[in-house]
Amino acid sequence: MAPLSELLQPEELQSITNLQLMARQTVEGAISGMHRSPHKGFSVEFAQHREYVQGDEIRRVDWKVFAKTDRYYVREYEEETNLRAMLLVDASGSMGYTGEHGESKLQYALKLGACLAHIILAQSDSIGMMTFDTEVRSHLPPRSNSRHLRLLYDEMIRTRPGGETDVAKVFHDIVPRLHKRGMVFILSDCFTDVKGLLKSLAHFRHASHEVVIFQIMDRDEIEFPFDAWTRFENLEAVGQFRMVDPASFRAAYLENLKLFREELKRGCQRNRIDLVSMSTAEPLTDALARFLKQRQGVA
Amino acid sequence: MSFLNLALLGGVAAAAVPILVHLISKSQHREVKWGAMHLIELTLKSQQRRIRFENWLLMLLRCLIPILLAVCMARPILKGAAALWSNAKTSLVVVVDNSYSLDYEGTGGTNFELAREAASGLVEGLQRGSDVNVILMSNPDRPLYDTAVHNLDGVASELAEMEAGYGQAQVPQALQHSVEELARMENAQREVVVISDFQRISWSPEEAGLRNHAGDLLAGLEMEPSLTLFHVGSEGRENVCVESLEFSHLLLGVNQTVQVRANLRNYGEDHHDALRVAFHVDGENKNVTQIPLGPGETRQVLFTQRFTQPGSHVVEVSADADSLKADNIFRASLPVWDRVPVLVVDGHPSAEALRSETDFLQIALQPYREGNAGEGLTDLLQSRTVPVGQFGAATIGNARVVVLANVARLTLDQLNDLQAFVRDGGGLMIFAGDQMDLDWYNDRLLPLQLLPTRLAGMRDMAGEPEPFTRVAVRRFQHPALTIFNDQRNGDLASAEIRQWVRTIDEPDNTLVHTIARLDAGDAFLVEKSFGNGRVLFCASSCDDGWNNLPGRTFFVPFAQRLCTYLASSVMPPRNLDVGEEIVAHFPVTAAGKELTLKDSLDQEHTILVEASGGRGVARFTGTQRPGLYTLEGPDGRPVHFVVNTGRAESDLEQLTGEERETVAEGLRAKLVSSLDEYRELDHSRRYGQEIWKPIFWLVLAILFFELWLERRMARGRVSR
Repeated sequence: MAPLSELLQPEELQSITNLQLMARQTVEGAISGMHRSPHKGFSVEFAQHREYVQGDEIRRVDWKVFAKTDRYYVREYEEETNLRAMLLVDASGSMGYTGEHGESKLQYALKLGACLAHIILAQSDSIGMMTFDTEVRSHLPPRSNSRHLRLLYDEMIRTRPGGETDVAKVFHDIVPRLHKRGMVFILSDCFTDVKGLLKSLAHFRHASHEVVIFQIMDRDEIEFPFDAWTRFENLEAVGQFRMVDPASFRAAYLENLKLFREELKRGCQRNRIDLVSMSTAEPLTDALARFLKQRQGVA
Repeated sequence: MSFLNLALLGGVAAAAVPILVHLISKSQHREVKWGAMHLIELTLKSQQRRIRFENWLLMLLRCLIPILLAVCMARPILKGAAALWSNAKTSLVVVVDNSYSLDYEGTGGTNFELAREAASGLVEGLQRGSDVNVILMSNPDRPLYDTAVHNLDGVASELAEMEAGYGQAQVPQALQHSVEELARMENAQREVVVISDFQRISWSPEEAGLRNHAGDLLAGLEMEPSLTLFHVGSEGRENVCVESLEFSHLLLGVNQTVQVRANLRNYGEDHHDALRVAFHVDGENKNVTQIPLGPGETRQVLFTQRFTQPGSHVVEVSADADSLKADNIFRASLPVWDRVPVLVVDGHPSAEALRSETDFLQIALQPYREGNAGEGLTDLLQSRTVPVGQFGAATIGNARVVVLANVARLTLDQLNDLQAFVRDGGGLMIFAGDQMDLDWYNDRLLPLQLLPTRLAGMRDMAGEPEPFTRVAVRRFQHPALTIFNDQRNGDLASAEIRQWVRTIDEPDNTLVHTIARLDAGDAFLVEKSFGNGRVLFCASSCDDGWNNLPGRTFFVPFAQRLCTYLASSVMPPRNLDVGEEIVAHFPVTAAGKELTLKDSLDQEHTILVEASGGRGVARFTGTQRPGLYTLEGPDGRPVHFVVNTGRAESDLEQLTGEERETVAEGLRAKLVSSLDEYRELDHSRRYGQEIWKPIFWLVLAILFFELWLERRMARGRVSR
């Protein structure tokens, strides 16, 4: 396993390890659930028996063992590697916003991507990564070997926030480049035209990809806590700015943000896309656990 | 507008503070490199106009607050064109309620004393050179001065000496006269102040239209005056009044006993267990009785009196139970006659006994003399019959009643004499007959008001199945006929009327009254007033040619009642209302003589007797004060005149504060209840009004609005 220290703090690494353990138990409900249906009939390998605990599916109970021992055991399998996951990391200027806690949305997204890659590769699945702004800036095709993780980390470390975003166009460009169906993890603030974004996401779905969007926002963007006159300079267009009195502006901004998020949420539901909203103020491990639990259907 | 603390107006500069704060905060802005720019753009796009408007509004409000506060502290005074007149001369009309209700004595003196004090205070407060007139509500036709006067001290002292008790308040008339008075006054600044106790009866809602019309006239003057209603006095809680006196006789003769019925009413809230009621005749106490009288109750007290001497007498009933004296006494002048001359003009004389037109009437008018009754029995009426040719001013003489019996026509001179006689208070009785020239009556007598109604022709029932009609039986209201409501005095319906003169009804003419009808539907007796006298027309004859009236038992009282009724108005009335003219008639030989009249305050006045209508006439107009007026006649005998006030003012209930406000609104007037309040009002009218209070409230309102707006802006709205 390649070192993660350049991206992750030691405690985060520990958390990831724990996550990996948790992932072992939950991947069946999460990752497996994501590709079970399109890959029906793939061979699986029996791993072990385990005593039934409350919450296990009844269909997994091994009734033969029960008949012999009069105790409940469930069968556990190790699936063969068949998951092709792709991290699509938004590296546009807007992802470079850094709030009070000193971590940009892009950094947060890359950490999240690293965790996901770690989990997926730990399961011998394959994962690749693309970074983009108005176009694809880097592309690492999915691999499942451990050296690939190092490549992913190297690319992540090199990634810096860039210019403007044109998510819809980029996504339309990306879809043909994903030759096999798989899981697509989009790590972005999704600050773009919602209708165009949803249209491009539908393109993914049309190509039979499972799509999970991690919408990453800063707390400032969510709460708009400014009070004095503020000059907002556009991170994606140099020289463009707006002078705003936040006191009279805040309520309308928050209302528009709410509408924006609701529209995105409705569109994702319509396209059966998982939307996970995250704030950079939220500890990454908490956010990831929340996602995995959500996938597991426990949350 | 001016300011009492002009220096503090500099605080207006504080309006710059919000602007400076805005500019400074904007210049010291922070910079943020922002990712969610599209949300800001979206918000600006949808809300920019609203935000900009609200920001401007907020800025305006924040600037207004220090400005208005500074204005408040500078104590602004609002004044319009009135300010130009602040030291100008004023034309003031003071309308003083001097009705007798103001004689009520509450705390601090009588209500009128308070009104007088207020009026004096108003006049004393005027600028030198102002002109004033005073209108008294009980007699608004005659202002205190013929033209407005400038001698303010003189007016004030005259007001100070004025007394109440002068009758009933006539509010609309007083207001209208104030309009006329103002139109004659000279100063540009004009004012009418109405000082009253606002007694409900004088300020009734029924008269609101008339009052408001007067208010409109005031407002419509070229230089609109300000109108102030000045309430004075307290409301009386107790008042007993003698409302009226009724007499059993229309005309009283010597040695006849008259019943005097006094009506008393308690307008107060106190119960009188034994109210003392006294009866005086010619100033001498004749009787005293005690009656119970509860709150709101009305009772009658009966006194009897027999007069042994003819001449003018005064009866008086008093119930001195409260401090409002004016209505505690009711007086009446009662003439007692030894004889009442009646002149009968025979239109169809005859030498044969009882064949002349007036023979039966002559007997009926003086039955004792005609019937040679014994000593001690005399006739009150003394009739004298003349043929038509002898009728004239000379034969009328001192007659109280003239009877035209079946007279064909009169000469022009006779007509003039007759008209003067009736106009001066004489009574004219016309009996119909076959000699009458109906066209002449319609053409000559009717236009002179000496015939009550137009004559339509003769009606004869001979040859009809029932050759007569009767007088329609009903309850008579007319004083001349009320005795026949009692059948024991005779049944008018028992007479058979075979012929009569038809008249044309004039239901719309309020001066004409049909007092009796025939069963056939035609009028039998018709009355009309003319001048001070009355005319009665009987549609049938006074002999037995057209009817059997003379043969009926009631004929004597019938003829007597008609003549005494007419005679009761022969002389000009001696019981008058406040302000009515005193008129006395004497023989023409008295013309040119000077008589002495003693008024209710025992002040003597000299009156010249003038010749008019064949008699001497004395007149006196100064009856503004109720009481007894005594005129010494040419023969040295006194003639009494009593001036009474209407009793409507005895109900001392006043308008409530709300009702006074309503009255003031209707008149577009201001309402005050003390001199201090008036002075404050006058000050604001002249010098303007301090308006810092409303401005301060405005500041508070703006503060709240600013707070609300700020919160609303923070909460925000979305137009999408």
